[in-house]
Amino acid sequence: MQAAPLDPQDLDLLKEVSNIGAGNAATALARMLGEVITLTIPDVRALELAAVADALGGPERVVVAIHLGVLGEARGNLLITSSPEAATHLLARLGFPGASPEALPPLATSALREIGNILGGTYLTALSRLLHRHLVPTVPGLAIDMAGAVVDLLLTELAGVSAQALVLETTFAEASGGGVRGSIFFLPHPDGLGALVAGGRRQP
Amino acid sequence: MIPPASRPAPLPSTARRISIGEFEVAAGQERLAIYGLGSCVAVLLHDREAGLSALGHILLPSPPRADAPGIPGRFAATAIPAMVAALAGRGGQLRQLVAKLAGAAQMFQFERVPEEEGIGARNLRAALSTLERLGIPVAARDVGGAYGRTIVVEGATGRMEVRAVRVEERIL
Repeated sequence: MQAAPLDPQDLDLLKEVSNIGAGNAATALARMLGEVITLTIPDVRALELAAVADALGGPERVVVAIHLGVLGEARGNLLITSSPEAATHLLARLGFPGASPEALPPLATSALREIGNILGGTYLTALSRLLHRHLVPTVPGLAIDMAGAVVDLLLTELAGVSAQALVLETTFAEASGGGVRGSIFFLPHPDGLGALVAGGRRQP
Repeated sequence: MIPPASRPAPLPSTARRISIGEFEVAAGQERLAIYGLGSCVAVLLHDREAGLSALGHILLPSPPRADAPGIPGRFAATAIPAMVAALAGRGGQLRQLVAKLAGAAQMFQFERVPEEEGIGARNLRAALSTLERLGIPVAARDVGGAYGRTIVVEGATGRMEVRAVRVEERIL
């Protein structure tokens, strides 16, 4: 069974709230780094499950990925990704110069997870407020590996109920070109999607 | 910076990609590949006498509810019998089959979910029990851990190459 298809207005609504959520996350990151962080235009796509890894650059591309499950009045998954090179830049700014994602000191691992916690938490707080749905993140998990392997977990939750994955993507980058960049992906679970957009329609 | 050697070597362009939830049969020099396998389990069924292999890229143990989308390749309980049928359609025989397994990792460590309860471990158990029910012996496996794998299989021989970012290549 497929979730009821979303009409274009619903997709626009999701694109808008995703953009605001990512904007808040970028502001939090900007404050931490003391840099201006810019966003690209958000993207909302319904993808075949096999195409989700391609949206991350291909199934074998190595990414630094932080995963947060989303629980509450709607379910889903957040994935915050960057290239290993961008993560190296970020870690240097956070006080871990020369820390490569290939061999992370434990404290740097904690720092990346905490960054994920802050970005994911800020993103979800904005969505909760705009959609009038209580959304809470789970404890973040970190993986540095092939994109295909990283997205498996997100797809398993969808595979039993849907042929496709709805993917809300926003990309952020340091305005100065300093090398910190990444993407925030939100994959809402189809079961809660109706409730999610209804919350936003109620009070635009 | 990341040394280039940390990435998996490029694969032969002749390999056919088996996407998530799909399976295919190969013979002769044909190669099948799964790129970036995480908690999914790759099941190879090989018939040496017929020179055939089937490779499945399986996401979940079994359909979670009766109205689940009708895609047998997504679930261990339905994909493996469908692969046996596809092999039989090409001249393979159930009693000649052996299996090789790869993947079933736990990519993200969660404090409250021990590895044996993760989706990877559950996929592995479901694949093993389905194979046992069908009487197919498991010849080799490279499963578990917290890392992704790329696998390439050759049709006629059932030779399986397993590659990972930070782990040495293995041949099953």
